[in-house]
Amino acid sequence: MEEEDGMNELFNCLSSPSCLVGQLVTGLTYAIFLFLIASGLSIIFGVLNIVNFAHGSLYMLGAYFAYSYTTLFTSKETYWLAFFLIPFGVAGFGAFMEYFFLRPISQRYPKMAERELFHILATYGFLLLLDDVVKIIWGARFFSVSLPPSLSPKISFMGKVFPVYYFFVMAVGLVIAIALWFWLNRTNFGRVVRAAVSNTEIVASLGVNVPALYTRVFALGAWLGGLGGVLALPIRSANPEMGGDILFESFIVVVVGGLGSIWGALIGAIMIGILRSFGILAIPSLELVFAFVLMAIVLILRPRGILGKIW
Amino acid sequence: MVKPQSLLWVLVILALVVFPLIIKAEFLTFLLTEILIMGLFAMSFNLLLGYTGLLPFGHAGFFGLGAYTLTLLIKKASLPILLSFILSLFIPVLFALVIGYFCIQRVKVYFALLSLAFGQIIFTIIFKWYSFTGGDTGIYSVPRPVLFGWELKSTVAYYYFTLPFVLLSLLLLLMIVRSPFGVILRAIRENPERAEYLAIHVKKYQLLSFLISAFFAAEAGSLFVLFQGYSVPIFAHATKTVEALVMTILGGTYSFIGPIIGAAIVTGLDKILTTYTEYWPLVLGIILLFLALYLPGGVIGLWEKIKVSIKLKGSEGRE
Amino acid sequence: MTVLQVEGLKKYFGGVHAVEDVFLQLREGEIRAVIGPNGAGKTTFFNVVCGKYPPTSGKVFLMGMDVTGLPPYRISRLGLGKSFQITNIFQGLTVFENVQAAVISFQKKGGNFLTPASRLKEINDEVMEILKAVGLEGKEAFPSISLSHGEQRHLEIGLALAGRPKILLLDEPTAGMTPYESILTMELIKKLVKEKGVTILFAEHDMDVVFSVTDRITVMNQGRVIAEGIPEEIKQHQEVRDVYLGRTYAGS
Repeated sequence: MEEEDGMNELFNCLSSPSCLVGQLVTGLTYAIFLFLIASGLSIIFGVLNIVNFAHGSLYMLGAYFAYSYTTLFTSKETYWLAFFLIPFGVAGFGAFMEYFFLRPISQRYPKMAERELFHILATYGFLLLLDDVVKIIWGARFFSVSLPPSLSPKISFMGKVFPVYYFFVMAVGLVIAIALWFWLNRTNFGRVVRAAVSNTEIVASLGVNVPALYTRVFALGAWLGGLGGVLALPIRSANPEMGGDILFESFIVVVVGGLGSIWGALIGAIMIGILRSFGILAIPSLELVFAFVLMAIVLILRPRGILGKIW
Repeated sequence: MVKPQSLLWVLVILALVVFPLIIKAEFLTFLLTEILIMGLFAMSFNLLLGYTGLLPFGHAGFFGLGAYTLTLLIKKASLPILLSFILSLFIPVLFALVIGYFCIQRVKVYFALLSLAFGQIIFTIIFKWYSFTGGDTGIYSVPRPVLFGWELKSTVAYYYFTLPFVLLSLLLLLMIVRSPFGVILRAIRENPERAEYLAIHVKKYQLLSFLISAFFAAEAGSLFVLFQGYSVPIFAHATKTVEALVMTILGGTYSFIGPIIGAAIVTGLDKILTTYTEYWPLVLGIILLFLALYLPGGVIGLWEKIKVSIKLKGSEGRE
Repeated sequence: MTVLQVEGLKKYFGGVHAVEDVFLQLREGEIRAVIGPNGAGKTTFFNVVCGKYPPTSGKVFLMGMDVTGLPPYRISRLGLGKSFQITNIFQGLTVFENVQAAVISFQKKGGNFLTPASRLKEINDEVMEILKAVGLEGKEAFPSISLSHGEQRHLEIGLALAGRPKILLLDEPTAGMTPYESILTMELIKKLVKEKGVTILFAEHDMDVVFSVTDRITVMNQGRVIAEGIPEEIKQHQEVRDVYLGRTYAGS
């Protein structure tokens, strides 16, 4: 009975332009948050070979920092300052994590299997730590902020009304994707990073400080996650569970899109975002299963993902 | 000639057997039961991690499958408890056959992620299928087993039900690990590619190891349900797998009893600390960071190092 | 008796023709070296013969049996042993355990879940015999990573021997060794052929080793076999000299 109703609802929505557009916009906006986290995860995995379980918590930190910042300093331009500054704060924390915890682990365990295992342990440790620290400092409530005034006016698009903010988020996502692609493929730093991935020893013997490179790349990944949190705050509110919730989905995105691929992360994020917003209509109870099933299918049939390559 | 080590184990087992009769603290017996069950779960996890070199992030799925198979057979099919218990050991293994087959096709991180995907699928199905599994509410009022007309209601009674099952399982695991099969598993852990050139069909061994560990994980899940009297979806969630992972690493992943020692420490700490603070995850997180940086061999690893340095100091003293 | 027969072997990776139309025939007890400059296709050729990659076309026969495309764990059970270019032992295990795993597998005792492995006398005796044959007697209890590089290579060969192979494939067995260690290793190889009747096919860069030990030499370049014969013939062979020495003169 529930399934029939769900499918009916889905059909109705698909045939009504305003509903269709509404779900698309929410889905795509969510997809950008996913993309920001997933691209950070993907880059960190691609370059450092670390699965950063704390990445969702970095996203969460971005949201909480932004919340505190906007409530402490209230001025017309507060949101924009937060938008530009907070991600760097999160990046700094990421650099701290990498330098004091992840780098010593890489140096201490020459065997790759052990290194991977203890990296997982350490990043998971940070997840637990950060989730509780957030509760201690800010309390366990939900915190929300209103949309920044410059971006709250509503536009009418295909019969539905949205605040400009949603489109702003999508624009940011696109800009970041292009910027990342450019950075990776056209700048010197990006070239060195790509070289370091395929052959660390040669790059090191050419005088590149590989450990410092790794710290910077990790910080970049953290920056992306933090930006996601700042962007998400006005729409989704901050709560101690937000990191864990979005982390699983980010894994799915990274796997589907391809570990190490930025456009793959974008495509994967869009797929999961849309799947989510339409799946909720069709079979509300099982939409999460679909995401995991998709992840399993990709891993079984094409573990490289849609666009993944070993760089 | 009886080895001093074997004697030690006999004493430990004897101590476990007489424990509740000597120390009449129900709370401690309760704690010990939980340690035994979680220890078994951690041991099953370590068969894959420490001995075969695979990290099964979805391992809790089998713990949950064991728990829910038992619960559903009792509540929905009205089967006798003991029969349900036996079935709940083997039915999850059928799932493991399919899941394991797909997982072992992939290596390292991809194996871990695929295992995670399957585990979360199991969790989500249990969580959402309200009409069949009770959904996020879970299923309560699971009765204790009845042995020869005597319901094992008390903590002590259930302890004596759990103990033989866990000891027997541990004995089986010990034999497996010491057997020729175990030697091959460890070779596969070290270097799967090389093993292929020694006529070792690596995937076959990995699948067998997967099935065995799923069996013992399901057993732990079933014992746990009968222990707590309820079954909830989180039994199948990745956070449960992480519990096993932490216990294993804390105790020592390269030793046989490491996971049980880890289970004892984690369970004990959990119970003590949750009375003083609600921030148990924070403590756990700090422990994990400490382990990853300073104590990779876990408690047993530390103990081995201490033994070696005592020996060295001893031989220095004699000179 | 022909131990190994390779017919028309081709291996392409996309557009790269790593191995192109290779024919090879090994008689029992022969020591054959495969030489050629880097990138000649020696390693790929070895990898196809031992089952790591299926060939794009062509056939491989092991003692008359068609083993084309069989995976490594099947081919090794049929009598082909392989030793690697980079030392590839079981690092976390002791010397004894390294060989023990191999012997257990070859004696098909891997399905035994219940008996303690230390109690199986046949396996233990065979392990000690192999360790003796490769000169590692007395070091059974040592962690395998504590051995010297040369000793690890011998352990490596010991692993390959555990299955009493009819043919042993050695991929650059003396790589990274001192001249003294190289001599020891080649003596070991000669001893193996004499005592156990093992046929040896090895890839090498060290010409002293090649010319002192082999019966016949196969020369590869750019995926093809450009020459084959006894050492004296190969030394005189014009195309071989061009391939190895030609580059020195090309610029001048």
